[in-house]
Amino acid sequence: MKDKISVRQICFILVAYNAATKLLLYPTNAASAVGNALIFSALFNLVLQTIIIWSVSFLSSRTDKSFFELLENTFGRVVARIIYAFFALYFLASAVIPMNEQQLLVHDAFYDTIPSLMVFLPFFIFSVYAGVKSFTNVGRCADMCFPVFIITVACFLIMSVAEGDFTNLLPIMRQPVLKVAGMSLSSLFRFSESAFLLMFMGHYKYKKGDAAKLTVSYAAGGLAVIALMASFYALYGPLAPTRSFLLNNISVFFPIVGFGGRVDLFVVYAFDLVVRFAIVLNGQACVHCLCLTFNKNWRIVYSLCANAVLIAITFLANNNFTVLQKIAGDWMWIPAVLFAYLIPVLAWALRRRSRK
Amino acid sequence: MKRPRLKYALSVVYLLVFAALAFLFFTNDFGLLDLRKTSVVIGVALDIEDDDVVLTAQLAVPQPAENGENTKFNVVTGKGVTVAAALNEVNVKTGFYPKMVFCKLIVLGESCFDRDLTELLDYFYRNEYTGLTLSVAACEGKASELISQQFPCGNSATDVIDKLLSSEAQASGNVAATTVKELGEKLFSKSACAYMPFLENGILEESGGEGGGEGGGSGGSGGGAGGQCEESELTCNKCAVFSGGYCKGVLPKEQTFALTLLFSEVKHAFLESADGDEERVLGLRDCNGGVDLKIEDGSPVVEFSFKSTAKVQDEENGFSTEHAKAERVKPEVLRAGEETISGLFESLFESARAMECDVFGLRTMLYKKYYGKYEQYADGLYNDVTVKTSVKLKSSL
Repeated sequence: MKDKISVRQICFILVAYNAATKLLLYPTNAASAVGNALIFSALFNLVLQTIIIWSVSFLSSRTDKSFFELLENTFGRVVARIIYAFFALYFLASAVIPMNEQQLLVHDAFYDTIPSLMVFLPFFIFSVYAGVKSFTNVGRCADMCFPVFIITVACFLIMSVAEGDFTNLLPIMRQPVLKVAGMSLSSLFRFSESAFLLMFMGHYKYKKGDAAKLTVSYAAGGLAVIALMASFYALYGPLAPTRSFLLNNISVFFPIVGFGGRVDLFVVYAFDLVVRFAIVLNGQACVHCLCLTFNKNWRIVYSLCANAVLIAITFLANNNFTVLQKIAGDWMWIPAVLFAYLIPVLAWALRRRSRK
Repeated sequence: MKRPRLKYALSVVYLLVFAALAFLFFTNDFGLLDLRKTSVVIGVALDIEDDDVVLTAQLAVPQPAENGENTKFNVVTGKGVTVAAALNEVNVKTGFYPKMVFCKLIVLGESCFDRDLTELLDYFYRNEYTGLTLSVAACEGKASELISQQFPCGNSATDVIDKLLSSEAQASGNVAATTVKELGEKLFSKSACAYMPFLENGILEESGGEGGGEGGGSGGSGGGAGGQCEESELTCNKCAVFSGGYCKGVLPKEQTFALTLLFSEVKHAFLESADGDEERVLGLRDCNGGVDLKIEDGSPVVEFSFKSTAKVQDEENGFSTEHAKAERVKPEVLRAGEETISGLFESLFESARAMECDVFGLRTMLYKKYYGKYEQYADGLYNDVTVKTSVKLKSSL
């Protein structure tokens, strides 16, 4: 088994990386769209994706093959390569929104004035380097990120829960159902971790009970997001849509921040490190797909190409992020449904035994 | 042989890209500001003149620390259609890039009372650099005159007002302090009603005020001014009530006190109470007040509750060792105190009904707790509601 990754490490990814990219602009967007029903919109997506995560992880109990091998076994090598090429494009597209949101978060949280785009470009040095690395390294990074994630989320919750007024979440589910459903649909692309799990198939050894572990891990990461979103809305109520980022606003009313200044920014900084690893996972998955598509292990070439595309999009999206966000909100659910919902379920129909 | 060459070439490309990006990164100014080329806005005063917003900013200008006085306070005024336009004029006049991140106070002059507060403060809700933690207060007369004034205690007017609105003052129940966030939450709620401290300045009334004006007065002493603190002429034991964004009136200090007993974290308050001919001051500790709305037998009921421990601080009849010896407070004294507090709550409710201001947030409570009955009761809530008070004082000994 090449590029081995352990179930523990995948669990860490499903907890930490899952939550990290959802705590950027998503809570504000949800608060803006559906007000105090923001947690229900997120909960619907979480439940749906958790079922898919269970489906994919349970599929691993039935076969030791990777997803590529299953495709190859069923449709032949050419079709498998074509599907993986589309997956590569999907992972690349999935990186765009969180990457730009993270850039805006850094500008918002750590700078007084809007810095030039150049300040963000060194991110791509890291991104190119990470893209070259295999799933084994992805797992090691998850081992490092998990404790940071746990500590930072605990800090955010401690610094916000006592300061908020949770009656702001009342009355429950009184927003129009269509509005909540619309928000769920437009944010569906943010709940698409099953696509990563498909890529990890065949790279970890399944043991009894691992499907439950993976599913619970994903649900735990999602619940952390929902808890922080609830806390954010409890804190700001109708003013929540005026705050761009949950992360640098959720702890400002904690007493120690009032006395000692923005010490909470250390926590934001630590959390941002996890966000970076979560974002580059898209690039790493993209490179993995390209390696299998072209059957050449030119990781550095693929990583450079993928990041060149991302740099170009970053330049184009500079000062046009709202347009990008609108496009993602309106259209990204279509590839998300295909690659993170339909294909993972349809994977059960693939031939799991080798052809004679 | 080809693969090592390709790997070598790609490594070189990677290093070159790394070097280029590192060069771009380290030659950036990181958006840092030279402290000597900026000024820090610590407080702003807002007035309305000819339908324009007049913003008077109190600036802390860092000075070279030669004699220990390293900050100078200036006052600069800008005028514009909105707060942002007025602030831009301040930029034009100073040439500094004013940093609003340290702004801790907004004072609204009386002329702002007829302007929609949600429109006036729009800038502060949109601008994330200012934060939502800054205090808001209203004042009689012109806010620009108040913020330009010198006070015996504190370096700047903003500091003095900030002390009056401090958590210590709030803990004594003497000031109904609020922040931009709390104000916004209330104004954008179903109740659409908020309150803020109302500052009164005795000196301004006598002398007719000074300073202010376009271009602004300047001055202010450096840090660590010596001398004894004299009694401040500035008081803020009343509060201005806003409904639908507009000021509906100013609550007297007794009703403001009642409001703080219900909604603030009061730790130690003094209550003037009378029992027959004998007047005394009770010290209240461990105060716990609140408002609850219920629907009982198909009609709304509001309950004002308050609990605390009480101790006699002094009495009008004078000191005697018999009276002053440590003993439990007599039940009749406690009952008199409870009746006084109940009376304050009822008087506050009557004022709220008369001003048509939902200062208790009853409509918001109705919406959150009894969503299905909101439409039925919301409009005539203050006329239909039954008022109950539950005040319990117990002896602190």
